Amino acid sequence: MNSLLLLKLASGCYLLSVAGYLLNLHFNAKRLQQISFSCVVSGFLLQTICLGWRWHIAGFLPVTNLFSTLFFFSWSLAACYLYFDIRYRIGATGLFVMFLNLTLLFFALGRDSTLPTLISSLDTPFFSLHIIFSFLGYALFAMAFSLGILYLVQRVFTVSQLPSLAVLRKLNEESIFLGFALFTLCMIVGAIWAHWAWGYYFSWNIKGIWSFLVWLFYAGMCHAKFIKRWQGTGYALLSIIGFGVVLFTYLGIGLLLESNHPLE
Amino acid sequence: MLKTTWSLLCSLKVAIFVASGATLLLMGGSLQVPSHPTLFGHMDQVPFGTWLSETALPHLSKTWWFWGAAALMILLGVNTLCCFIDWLFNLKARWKKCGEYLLHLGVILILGAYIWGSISGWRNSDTKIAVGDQIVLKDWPGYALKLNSFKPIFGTNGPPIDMISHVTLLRDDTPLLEADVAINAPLLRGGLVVTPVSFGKEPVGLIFTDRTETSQTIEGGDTLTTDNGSRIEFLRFIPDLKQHRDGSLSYRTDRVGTPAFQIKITFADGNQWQGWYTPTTAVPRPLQMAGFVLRPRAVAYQDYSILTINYDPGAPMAMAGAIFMTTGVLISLFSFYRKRTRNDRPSI
Repeated sequence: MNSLLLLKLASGCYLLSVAGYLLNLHFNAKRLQQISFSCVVSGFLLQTICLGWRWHIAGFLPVTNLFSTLFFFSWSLAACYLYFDIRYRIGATGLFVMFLNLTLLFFALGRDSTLPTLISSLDTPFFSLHIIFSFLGYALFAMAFSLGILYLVQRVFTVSQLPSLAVLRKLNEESIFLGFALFTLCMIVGAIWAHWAWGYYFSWNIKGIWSFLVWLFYAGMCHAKFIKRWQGTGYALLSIIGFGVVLFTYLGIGLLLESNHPLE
Repeated sequence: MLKTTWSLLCSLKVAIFVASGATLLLMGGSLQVPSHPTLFGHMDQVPFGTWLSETALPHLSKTWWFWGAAALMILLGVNTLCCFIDWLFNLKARWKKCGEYLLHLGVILILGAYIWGSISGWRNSDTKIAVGDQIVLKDWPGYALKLNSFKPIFGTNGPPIDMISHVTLLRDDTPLLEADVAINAPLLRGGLVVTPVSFGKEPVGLIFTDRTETSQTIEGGDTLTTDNGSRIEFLRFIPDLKQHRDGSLSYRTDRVGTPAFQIKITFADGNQWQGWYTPTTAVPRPLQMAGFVLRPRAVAYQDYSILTINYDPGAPMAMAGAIFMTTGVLISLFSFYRKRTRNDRPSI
């Protein structure tokens, strides 16, 4: 059995959870919601074993190419969703989050999963910390994006299975705050590492600029939640726009432009 | 009036407005970065202030957004500083926000440090130093860096996995600090940072043997006194000398092709001769007359290390800012749920 099989099994579990959440939208049965949640937990456990296995084989956190970053992004998103669901029982929101997760895995599974050789400058604990904080931050921003969309859906259609607008708003703000906190740590670790490895703590390449923009954008959002006009709908819209910035920083720059964070 | 101005300087709405402006400017402007590599491709090789004045200023039509964003970031820094001072004045009532305001302090310090480093710092990327050589840090009078030894570490598959340069930092020829510079292990002192970039070998001379097959290395700058009392000065070594049809000579490449020494001979009787000696061709007559009997056997190489030597006086301050930010983030994270339970948040 190879690690990819585990990932395929995990994807299967996530697919089942999406199907379960979809059926639950129609039947509104607590049992269906529990089964869907169990599928997410199973998928997450399989993905965690797969990650641990790959980490053990490689000898370093294997997040150095497009396959492994999509994989780690997906794992982080599942972890964030489980955190929110266990804490707040937000069941039906899982449909959108898990759909997003499946999309990430769908793109990952079509890529080369071979473990690449680690280049020397990445052989440092700074790299692991930078990556972990970065993708947990991205995952929380993805969570906020999902919650933002669901907030707008709830506002227009009033879906009984979804949490109330007040809860969605609260969760959205929490995702943004936690994401910002972790992304700040990612930026700090990255800056110290860059200073040690290249002799400067901020690089004016396009990835550096856009990472700073992501940080600045969400720093603004952490402040905007105090302004009445931006609470609720405005905040949901900002969460959606913010995730667009995150996606461009992660995928757009890595795939379309030349940067010091290439994705292959 | 003063109160109104202070409120404006501390205003959250102003902060969001300014941050949004900077974000939009950087977003739009940065998309130009990949398409103008001559303008933006070497920004990291010089301090930001130097780049702004030397490269950005003459190309305002393509770099105006940098100036706008920089101005807005400074305004944002002022706003953040005012907010922090305002918090300090009201510490008794707002101490529970210490996590968030430590984060603000960190931002102020890092922004200030970056401006300081951009104005007063210097960067020497790709500085080549041969083993045993010493280079003067021209932007830092009195300081020099000596490369004592160099050792590349190769992986099992062949490519190098590390490059260890043992260096000494000197001030007025007095050693200050001795350290190994390797990947992710720089030499750090104050704002000085030395990191490895690359390495290599360069031909510096030739290995000769005499009649008894004893080898002797001769490099550019060496002097040899022969048995008949002549003095041969090897003024310089050229690894690949090109001889033109008209007899003139010129330097061709750094690789070994037609190695040559420029030599000066002072004969025992005081007469002098200066010319070129290319060991791959015949020994010049004056060199024979001087009693030069050595035979070239191989090229002598010397290891060199390529280092980045940067100085950023703001770096320690930025590090302090990073520590404040990290502390602030951790306090904010751990106090977030408690504060939310108490509904401890303003609503403007």
